[in-house]
Amino acid sequence: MSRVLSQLLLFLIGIAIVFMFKFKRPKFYRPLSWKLSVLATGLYLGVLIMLVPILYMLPAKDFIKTAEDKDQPIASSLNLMNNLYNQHFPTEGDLDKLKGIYKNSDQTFKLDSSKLSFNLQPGTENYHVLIERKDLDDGEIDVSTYVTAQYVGEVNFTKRILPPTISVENGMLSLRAPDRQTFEFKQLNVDFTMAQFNNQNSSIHEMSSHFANHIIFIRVPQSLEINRGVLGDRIQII
Amino acid sequence: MMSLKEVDLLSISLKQYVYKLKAYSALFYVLLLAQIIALFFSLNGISHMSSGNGELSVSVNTYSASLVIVFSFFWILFAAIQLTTKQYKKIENPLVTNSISGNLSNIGFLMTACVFGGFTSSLVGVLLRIIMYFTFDRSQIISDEFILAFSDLLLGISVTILYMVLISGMGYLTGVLTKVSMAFVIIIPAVIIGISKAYTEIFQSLIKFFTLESSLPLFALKVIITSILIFGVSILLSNRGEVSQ
Repeated sequence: MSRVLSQLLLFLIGIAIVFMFKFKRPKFYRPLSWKLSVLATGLYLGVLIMLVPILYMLPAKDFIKTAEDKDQPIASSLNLMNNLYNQHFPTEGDLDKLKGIYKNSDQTFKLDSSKLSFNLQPGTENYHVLIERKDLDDGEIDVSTYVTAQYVGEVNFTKRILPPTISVENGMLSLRAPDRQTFEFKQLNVDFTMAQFNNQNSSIHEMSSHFANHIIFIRVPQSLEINRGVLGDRIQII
Repeated sequence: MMSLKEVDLLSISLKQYVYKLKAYSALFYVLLLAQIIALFFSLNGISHMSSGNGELSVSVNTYSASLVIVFSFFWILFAAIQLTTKQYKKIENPLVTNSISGNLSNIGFLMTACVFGGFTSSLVGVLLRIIMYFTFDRSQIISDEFILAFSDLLLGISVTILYMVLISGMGYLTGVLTKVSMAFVIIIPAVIIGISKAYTEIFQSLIKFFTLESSLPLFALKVIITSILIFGVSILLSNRGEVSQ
C-alpha cells in the first residue's frame, strides 16, 4: 500500500514540476533575476562541496561492522546442530573452540537437593540442553549458555542475543527465554551510477537471515540424580 | 573567409550561451527543489526488509540517494524539451542569431546544466549520509558504503554527468521533433511504448548497452558518441524546420 502511495506521490510531484515549468515560465524572463539564481545555486553547490570533508571527518567507530567471512561461522553452526541431531555431542571445550559459536553467559548455582529436574518454559524450543557430569561432587551446578551464529545479510549480531534466565531452586532448574528482542539496522546503498562500475548491486543487498540456536551446557556433580521427565529428547546427558 | 565565419559562429554562440545562462538561470531552482524533495523521500528509506522467529525480529531499512539522481534526470529531460519550445525561443529575439548558433548555445547551456546537476545530485548523497549520521541511532547503521570513498564520489559525479548528457540529448531531440511536427507528441511515446512491449529484447538491449557497461572509458565513449549523434540529428532537423518555415 505504501509503495502504491509513494508511486502516486512521485507521479504527482512529476506533474507539479511539469506545471511549474508551464505556468511559472513568465517569471523566468525576469532580466535581473539571474544574479539571485547564481547566488542561490552557487550557495547550494558550495554547501554541498563543504559537506564532503565533513563526511570524512566523522568518526565511524559506532557503526556496525560487517563480517568479512560469514560462511565459515554459519557452516560451523550448521555442522554443530547436525551433530546434535545425530547424537554426536560436543564437550564444553569443543564449543569454546568452534568459530561462530558465542558463549553469552556463564553461571554457577549451589545445589540444594540431591536430585535435579527441569522446567523448560515455553519459548525455549530452540534450546538444546547438554549435561556433563563432573569428576567430583562439589555441590555446584555450572551453566554456560551458547548461541550459534546469527546473521542478517553480512551483519553478525550473535553477541547481541540475550541469554535465557536460569534459576535453580528446590532441585529444579528453570529455563526461561528472554523477552522477544527487536533489532533494527540501517543499510546505505551506493548510488546506481557508482554501483554500475563497482560490480555492486545498487538495489537491495542480499539480506537473507540466519537464525541462531541455543545450547545450554550444564556441568553437574558426579553423583547428582537427574530426572529428565518428559523432556528426554531435548535434554541430553553426555 | 571560411575561418572568419567559423569564428563568428563560435563567438555568437558563446554570447548566446552566456545570455541564455542568465535568462534560463531560474530553471536551476526547479532542480534544487526536485533534489530537496527527493532527499526528503530518500530519508524515509527506499526499501524495508524484516524477518523473525518466535524469539526475535530483525528489520533492515535500506537508504540510497539514487532517487535524487533520478529526479535530476527528469529535470534535465524536461529542461531540454523546454529549450526547444516557442516561449523559450522568444528569449533569443533580442540577439542576432541563426539556427546553428541557437542550437549550439542551447547545447552549451544543457552541458552546463548537466555538470551542475551531476555534481549536486551526487553530493546530495553526502548530505544524506550526514543527516543520517546526526539523526539516526549510529549503533544501527551498517558501516559498509556509509563511508563513501572519494574515488567513488568522483566516479558517481562523472557517470551522473554522462547520463544527464545522454538524457538531455534525448529530450532535446524530442523537443526538436515536436517542433517539426506536433504528431511526434503522440508518435514518440507510442514508439517507445510499442518497442518496449513488442520488441522487449531490443528495447532491453538498448538500455543494457549503457547500463551494463562496467568500463568507465567505454561507457563515456558510448555516451559521447551517442550524444553527438543525437545532438547532430537535432541540429539538422532544426535547420530543416527553419528552412521550411
